[in-house]
Amino acid sequence: MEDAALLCASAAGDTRAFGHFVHAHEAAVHRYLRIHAGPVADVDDALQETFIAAWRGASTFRGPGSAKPWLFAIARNALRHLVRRRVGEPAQMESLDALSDSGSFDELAVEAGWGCPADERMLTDAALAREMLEIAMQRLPVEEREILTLRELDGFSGAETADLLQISLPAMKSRLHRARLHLAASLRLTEFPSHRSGLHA
Amino acid sequence: MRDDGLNTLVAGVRCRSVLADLSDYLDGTLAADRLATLQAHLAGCDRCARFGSVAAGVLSALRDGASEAPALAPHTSESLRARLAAVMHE
Repeated sequence: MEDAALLCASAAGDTRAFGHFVHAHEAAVHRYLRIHAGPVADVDDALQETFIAAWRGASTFRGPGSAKPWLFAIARNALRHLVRRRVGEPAQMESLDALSDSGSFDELAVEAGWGCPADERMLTDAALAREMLEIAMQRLPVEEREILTLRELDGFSGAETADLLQISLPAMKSRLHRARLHLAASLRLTEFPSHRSGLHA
Repeated sequence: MRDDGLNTLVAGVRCRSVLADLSDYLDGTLAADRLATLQAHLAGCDRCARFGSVAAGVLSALRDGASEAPALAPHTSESLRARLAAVMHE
């Protein structure tokens, strides 16, 4: 059954329909929250708050189509409230200080390896690439982790992403481009995982 | 202005200009005229062509490695369902 039908039934009090809706989206929402929030606890709280808000607001979904953008907007708010609740904790997670925040795209491209030989490890070993990407992602500023998650992992369109982030399409494209270059730069600074070094020494 | 070779002109376009368009190129959203210019540049510029391949490879690895989100840990799933059950039956 499609999201719109499940949410329509949920709005009428059908808990079983909402159970199906939760099952369809819980993993993606959890990944978004985890990557967005960084290495902090309480992501489970944000997950619960997201689906509670979705249950209570099921009648506000305007289909047709996937409810993912609607649900992720709720998740984003839930995370924001969670961060605000924490006393003394910065809303922004750690970023990679070595990477420039305001450089032009071509300067970022140089940091990301333009003009240097390609790192063959990334091109020849998919499992290693995944492992290193995960490490490299965690070093990015939260806004860049978020946009990469939405666009590259969850397959949101440019327009959906801009809408969710409440920014213009050109601003979304600019942030995405910067995030991709920062990711490539972060990868270059990522140490070779020690448990794999024996394979590639 | 610092010159790391970014002002190199190939096929009538500078490397720095190609790098600014790289994301649109990788997403297939570049306008047709810009696309033709960029492709001509890449055909004659090793540095940009190599960097473009690496960037495409990184994005591909990112997408392939995580196309499906991992299932919830049992304790996460259980506490979500317990909390929802309590709310839905209020």
